[in-house]
Amino acid sequence: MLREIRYRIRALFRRRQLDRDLQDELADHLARRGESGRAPFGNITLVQEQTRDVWTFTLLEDLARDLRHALRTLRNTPAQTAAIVLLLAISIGATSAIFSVVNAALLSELPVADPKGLVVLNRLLGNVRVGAFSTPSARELQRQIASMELAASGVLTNPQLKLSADAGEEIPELQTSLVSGNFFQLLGVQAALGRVFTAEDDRYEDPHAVVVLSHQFWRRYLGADRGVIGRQVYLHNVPFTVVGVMPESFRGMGRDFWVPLNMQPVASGGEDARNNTGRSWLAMIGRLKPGISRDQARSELEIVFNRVTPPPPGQPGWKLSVDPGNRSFVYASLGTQYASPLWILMGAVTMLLLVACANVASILLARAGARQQEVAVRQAIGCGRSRLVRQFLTESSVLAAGGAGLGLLVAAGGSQALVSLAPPGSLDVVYSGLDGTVLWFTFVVSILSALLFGVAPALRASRLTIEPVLKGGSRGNTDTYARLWMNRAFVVTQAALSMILVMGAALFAVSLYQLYHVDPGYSTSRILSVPVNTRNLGYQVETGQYAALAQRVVDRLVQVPGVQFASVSAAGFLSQSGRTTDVFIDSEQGRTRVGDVRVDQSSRSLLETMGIPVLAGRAFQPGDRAGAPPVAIVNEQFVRQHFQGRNPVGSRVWFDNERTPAVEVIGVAGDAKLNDIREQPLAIAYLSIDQFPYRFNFINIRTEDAASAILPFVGQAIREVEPRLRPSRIETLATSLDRILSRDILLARISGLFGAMALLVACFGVYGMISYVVAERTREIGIRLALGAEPWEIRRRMVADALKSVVLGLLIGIIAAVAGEKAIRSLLFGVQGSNPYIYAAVAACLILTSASAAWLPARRAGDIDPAIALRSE
Amino acid sequence: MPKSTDRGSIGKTGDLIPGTLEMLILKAVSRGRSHGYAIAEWIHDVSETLRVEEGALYPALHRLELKGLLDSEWTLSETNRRVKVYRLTASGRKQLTTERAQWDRLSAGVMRILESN
Repeated sequence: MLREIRYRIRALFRRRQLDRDLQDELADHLARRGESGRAPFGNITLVQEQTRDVWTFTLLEDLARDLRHALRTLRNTPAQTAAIVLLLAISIGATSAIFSVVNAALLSELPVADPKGLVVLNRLLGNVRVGAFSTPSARELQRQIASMELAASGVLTNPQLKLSADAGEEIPELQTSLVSGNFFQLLGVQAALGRVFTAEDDRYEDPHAVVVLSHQFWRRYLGADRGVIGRQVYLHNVPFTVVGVMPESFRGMGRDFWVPLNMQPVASGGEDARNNTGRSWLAMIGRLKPGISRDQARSELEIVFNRVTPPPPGQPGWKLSVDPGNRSFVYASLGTQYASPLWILMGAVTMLLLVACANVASILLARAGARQQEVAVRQAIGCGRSRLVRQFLTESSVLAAGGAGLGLLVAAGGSQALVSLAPPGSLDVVYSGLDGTVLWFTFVVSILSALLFGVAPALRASRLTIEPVLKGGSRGNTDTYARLWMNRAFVVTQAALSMILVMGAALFAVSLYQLYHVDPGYSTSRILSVPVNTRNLGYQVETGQYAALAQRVVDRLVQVPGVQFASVSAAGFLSQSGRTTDVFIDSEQGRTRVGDVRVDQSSRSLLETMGIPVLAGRAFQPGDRAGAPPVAIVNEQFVRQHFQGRNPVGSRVWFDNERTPAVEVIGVAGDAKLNDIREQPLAIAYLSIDQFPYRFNFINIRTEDAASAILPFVGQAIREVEPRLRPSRIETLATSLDRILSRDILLARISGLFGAMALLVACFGVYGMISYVVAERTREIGIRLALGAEPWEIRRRMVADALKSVVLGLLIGIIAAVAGEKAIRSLLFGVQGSNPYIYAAVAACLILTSASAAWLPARRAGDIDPAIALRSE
Repeated sequence: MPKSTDRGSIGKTGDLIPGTLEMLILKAVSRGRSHGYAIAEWIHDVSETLRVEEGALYPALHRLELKGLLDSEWTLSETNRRVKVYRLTASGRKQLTTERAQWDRLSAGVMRILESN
């Protein structure tokens, strides 16, 4: 059997030789027969054919012939073919691009041993899962939990890493993961070069200064040097020995390099957070011990965690959960918020692909109409229907293959673009480019779409009654009407899907607009926010060294031309940082704890810098210095929440605990968005860094006008005062806002792109349909015009004809959009997914554009010259 | 396009039970290398009745070659024509033996039926 197939395939390529051989063989036979005096045999060609059939591979031969024919046919209409291939390339490519990211982020399992056995711990705050634990609690959980083995891992951004000891170049924008010694063993992964960490490396008392590099870091910064093991790199000027390089496939659990968790004081540049219970930053992963269920592990976890980290008095115990940890996204620090946007984009791009398929189908249908003659001739000479269908499907497959080939280029570029639209630490952690899975996906998608857009036209085209076509009476027969009907169905489909896509795009756009028009309580464009590194200065908070440095920085900065005000603060605006603490107030029941408030210890000039108004009382004054009576300014939300709206000026409050000195409220500031533009107003108390010494982390600068011009001078001024401050970025709060909203920007941009493309394609669909109608009815229209019909009436009918299909599609689309609105509700801000005005606007927009698309061919219909139209038939 | 032949069935000899022709060809070739014409002639001469048509002979030869039961090579005739001669392969010889045994059983059975009362 195998031998036969081999032989036949070989025969395919040696066709000519074999034919010649057969001819010779039969010629010899003929000659001998002649010599023996018998009559030459009848049909030598027939014998030849019958013999040849023994070794020809009919299926493959037919396929090859179909392919040649398909290519020839497609070459005859180069513009149309190019348009179809381009349309398919874009839509298949976009589908593959989104899929490649979805696959990397949400579908593929972590590249570790037995990923299904991994769990990840989360605290439940209401419905929200928070997967961050403080170092001490992580340590205690690791020690005390019996039902699972646990490892901890936390991300540090912008660590200072140099490849040489001297004042060499610091590699910018790095991300390191600090991991417990058992991290790699727990995952069950080995290094590609060298070794991974052991428990030895991560002793609390004597952690080793060792580092494991990611494959991409190794390739990018060390030139993939295989002799790298044993060399030193310098983390905050401390030499670390490279002990291992991870394999390229190890992605999703750390990006650039790994450091033992107990090296945290060095890795973060000085500050020892290993006993800091207030900073939750570690992800906890685990493997259940044999025979233990997730639920059993959860109950043990809750008991232990509540013992290790008692909840605030009067509050119920912490709720925790043990969740499956087999996908990498749960570990990417920003990853989880991209999960649903990615699914939504996947849905959107699928719809876009369907729009494209419907469009290509209608083009092919029209083409089939134009090829009736060819089909009829082939049928007349005995070509079977299945053979014809196969021919048409071959053409579709060629188109799809071309589309998929080009589409891979689109996918490669598109997926990179998508990843770069998302902020560092989200998609870039998991995405590694197009892989085998994506190639398969593209292949399958192209076949499916070839079937989708190819089958209907193929079936339609091959089902045709021969005689009328051959006689030339192709106009107005049943085939034409069936084809028109099908074409309508395609237009309805395109209109419905476009409606959904444009609707989604509009909602995301409105949502983004709303987000940008939230009043944050300060001007974002004129304020520079500069995160600085003050941990490794070796200062003591209590001695006021930070306050003194702050004063020097502020004094220097206000001398920079263009700078109006400058201030330092512990927390940055729109930077998702900040400290909350207990606050106590005197009431009828005595001094009581009223809840958590945010406190911001900052320069006295902070409110001026930010432009946050003081609505009652007074602002900080130079007199509010160390040693003077402690004062605080609270915001409106604080007043609403803790003073029930009474004027708080002159009241006393206590922070942290009731034994601290009383603080007098001297003023009320306007509300301002602190972490995120979406947040509900938070109660905040502003304190002066002079009276409440604290390590500052941000420098805030208000500029006179456009901030960008003075950026370099600001950096220079800060370095002049203290070079070790190392501002990691200097940007306006407008830029910070862009970063916070990057998910919304990404959704709005990509869904907008898809919506616009769907709309464009649908317009071509309408245009094509009406062009076809006009072409098919030329004679009828000619007669009508000859009988005195008004051209505008003909045109109006044509446009109305198009709109009938479009409106039907829109109605279907609206119903689907209303039903599916839930899927995107949680991603919208300040706009209802069911907002009728937006529906109306989108529908109007679609009707208008499709009416104009229909108008072009409709105008031609009115211009038909009856004399010519009638003569041509 | 209709199927141009009915590949697989032995063909046009009509007189022959399907499969028999291939056995006869194997038998003919088992006597030594020979070309298509010689095979047909030999079958005709020995049987005195069976005439193998070209339209059945050549497809059968090529099919046997495809199955690896025959081998072929090209020689030159006295008049310098290219001649394709066939030779039995080892598996062809085995096949002939099997078919021969089957044929014996079949014809014996048929004879017994025909000669019964």
